[in-house]
Amino acid sequence: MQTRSEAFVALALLILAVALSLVVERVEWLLAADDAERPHAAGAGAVVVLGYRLDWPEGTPVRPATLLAQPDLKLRASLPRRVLCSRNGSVAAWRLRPAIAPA
Amino acid sequence: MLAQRIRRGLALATRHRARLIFSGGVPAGKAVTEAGQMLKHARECHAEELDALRHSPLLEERSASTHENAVRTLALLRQAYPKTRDLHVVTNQFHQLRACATFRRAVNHSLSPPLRIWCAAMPPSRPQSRPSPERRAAPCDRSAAQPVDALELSWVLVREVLALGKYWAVGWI
Repeated sequence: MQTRSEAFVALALLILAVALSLVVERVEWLLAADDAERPHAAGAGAVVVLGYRLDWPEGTPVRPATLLAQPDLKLRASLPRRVLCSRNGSVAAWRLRPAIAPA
Repeated sequence: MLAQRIRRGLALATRHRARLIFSGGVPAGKAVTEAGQMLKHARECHAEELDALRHSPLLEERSASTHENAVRTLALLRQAYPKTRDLHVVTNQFHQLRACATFRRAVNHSLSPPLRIWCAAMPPSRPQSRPSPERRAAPCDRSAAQPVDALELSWVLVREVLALGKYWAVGWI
C-alpha cells in the first residue's frame, strides 16, 4: 500500500515538474523582447553584457531582498527623480579602466 | 545563464567590431564583481574571441540592479566612447523586456547624443526538473542553451514580473 502511494506521489511530482517546465517556457517567451541584430557603423557600436546574480560563480541564492534593494544612494541623491543621466558629470565618477592592458 | 550571455556578447562584439562592456557589481554575499567574473570566464573559455576583439573590454563594476546597469553603462559609454550610436543589450529572454525598456528610458532622459538601443536575440532557457550536475558544473559548455532548474527559473520569472511592476511604478521603464 505504501509503495503504491509513493508511486502516486512520484507520478504527481513528475507531472508537476513537466507542467512547470512547459509553463515557464511560455512565460519566458512573453517577457522576451528580441530585436533583430543591427549592424553597427564602424566605431559607433557597443555591446553590453548584463550580469546575472543568481547562479554565479557557484550558486548565489536568490533573495527577495535583491528585488527590494535600494539603488546607490549617492547616485540617487545626485539626480532629479526622473532624470537618469546628467551632463554636468555628477554621475560620471565611474571606475573607468580597460579590462585588458593594451599590448 | 551567464555563460550564455557572455558567449552571445562576445560573438556580437566580434562580428560587428563593437566595443564590449561587462556590467555588474558585487552580488549579495560575494566579494567579486559580476563584471570581473564575466571577464574571467571569457578569458578562461573564450580566449580566442577575446583576443580577436578590436578594443579591450570595459568593466562597469558598481551597479547593483538593472536600472543601475543602464545608468552607469550609459555614463561609462558617454565618458569613454562618446561617439557610440548603437548599443546592443545582451541578457536572457526573461530579462529582456525590463532591461531594454530601462536602457531606452535612460537614453531618453539623458542629455547625451541619441543612442539606439537594441535587444540582442537570445535562445530561450531550457527548463528541466533536474538538470544533471555535470552539465551545470561545466563552465565552458558551448551548447546553445544550458539546462536550468525549472523551479529556479519559475522563481526568476515571478521575480521578474514583480520587478517590472516596481520599475513601472518608479518610472524607470
